[in-house]
Amino acid sequence: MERGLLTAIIVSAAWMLVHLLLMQRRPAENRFKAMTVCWLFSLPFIPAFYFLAPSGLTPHPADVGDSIWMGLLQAGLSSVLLYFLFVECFYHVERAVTLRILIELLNDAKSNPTIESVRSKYDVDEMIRRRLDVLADRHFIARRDDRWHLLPKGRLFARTMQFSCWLFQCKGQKDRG
Amino acid sequence: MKGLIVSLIIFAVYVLSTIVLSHILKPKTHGKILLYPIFAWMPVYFLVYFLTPANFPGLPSAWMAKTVWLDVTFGFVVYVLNCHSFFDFFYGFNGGFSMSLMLEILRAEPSGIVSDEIVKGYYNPDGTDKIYGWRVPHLIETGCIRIEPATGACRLTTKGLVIARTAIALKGMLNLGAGG
Repeated sequence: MERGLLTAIIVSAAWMLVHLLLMQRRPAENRFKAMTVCWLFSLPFIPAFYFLAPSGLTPHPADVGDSIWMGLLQAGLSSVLLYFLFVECFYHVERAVTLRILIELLNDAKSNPTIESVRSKYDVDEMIRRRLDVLADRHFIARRDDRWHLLPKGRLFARTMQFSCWLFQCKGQKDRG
Repeated sequence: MKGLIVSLIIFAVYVLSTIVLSHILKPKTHGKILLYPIFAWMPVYFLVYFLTPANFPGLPSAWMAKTVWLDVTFGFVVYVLNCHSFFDFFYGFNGGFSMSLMLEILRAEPSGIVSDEIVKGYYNPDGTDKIYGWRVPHLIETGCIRIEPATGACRLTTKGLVIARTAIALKGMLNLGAGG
C-alpha cells in the first residue's frame, strides 16, 4: 500500500511539474485538454514506477505479502483524485470572479480604489461577454442569428445544474439578487 | 481496501447529509452546511473503521491491509480529497458564473437569447448589478475587505491581502492572465 500511495504522489507531482513548465514555455489555449493529456501520459508511469522503484524507497509488495493489484488500484485511484484536485484548483484560480476583484483591489491599492473604480476596470458587461466567448470557444454554446443556444455539452451541464440547485435548494448567481 | 471502502461509505453519507440539511434549513449560503459535516463525519469514519471486523465488508484475506495505520490513513485522505472535489463541484456548478450563464440560455430555449438580454438579467431593477452586488457584501462579511465610510475607499484586510497575493502567485505559476 505504501508503494501504491508513493507511486501516485511521485508520478502526479511529476506530471503536474511537467505541465506547469510546458505552460510557462507555451501556454495552451485549451488548458483542460493540456492537463488531461499530461495526466493521461503519466498513467503508464504508474505501473512502471510501482514495479521498478527500488525496494529501499518503499518495500516491494511481493516482499511484504501485500497484494500487487491492491497497490496498483490504490495508486490509480489516488492518481485520479490528485488529477481532479489539480484541475479544480486550476479553475478556481483562473475563473473565480471574486479572486479577480481582490487582485484588482491589490493592484490599485495606492490609489485608494472604490468598488466603482474596480467596476469600471472589470466591467460586468465585459465579464459576461468574455465568458460567453469562452463558453462558445469550448463548445458549450453557439451563436445562431445573433442568439445564443446551448450545444449538447452545455445542455447537459445546464440541466445538471438545475437538478443540483434543486437538490441543494440553492440559487445560481443571477437568481440570488 | 477496508479504509477505501469505509471512506467511500462515509463520503456517501456526508453527501446525503448535506442534501438533507439543505432541504431542511434552506440556507442562503451553503458554506457551513458543506464544511461542518466534513468534520462531523470524520470521527465516524475512524469509529466505523476500528469498530468493524478487519475483513469488513467481507474482504478476502489478500485484500486485507497488512499495515492498519496506512490503510486507515489512505481511507482518510481519500475521504478528504472526495470532500474537496464535492465542495468544488458544488461551487463550480451551483455557484459558477459560467453555469449561471448557461442556465439563462437554457431557460431561453428554444428561441435562444442575445447577449444584451443576458447582460440585462444580471442587473437589479434599481440599476445595481448582481455580480458585485452579491460579492462585495460577502467579501465584507468574510473579512476580506472593508469599506471606509467617509471616502468609500475599499481596502483589503490582511486576510484579503494574503488571498490576493496567493492568487497572483498561483496565476503566475500557471501562466494565466487576469482571468475572472
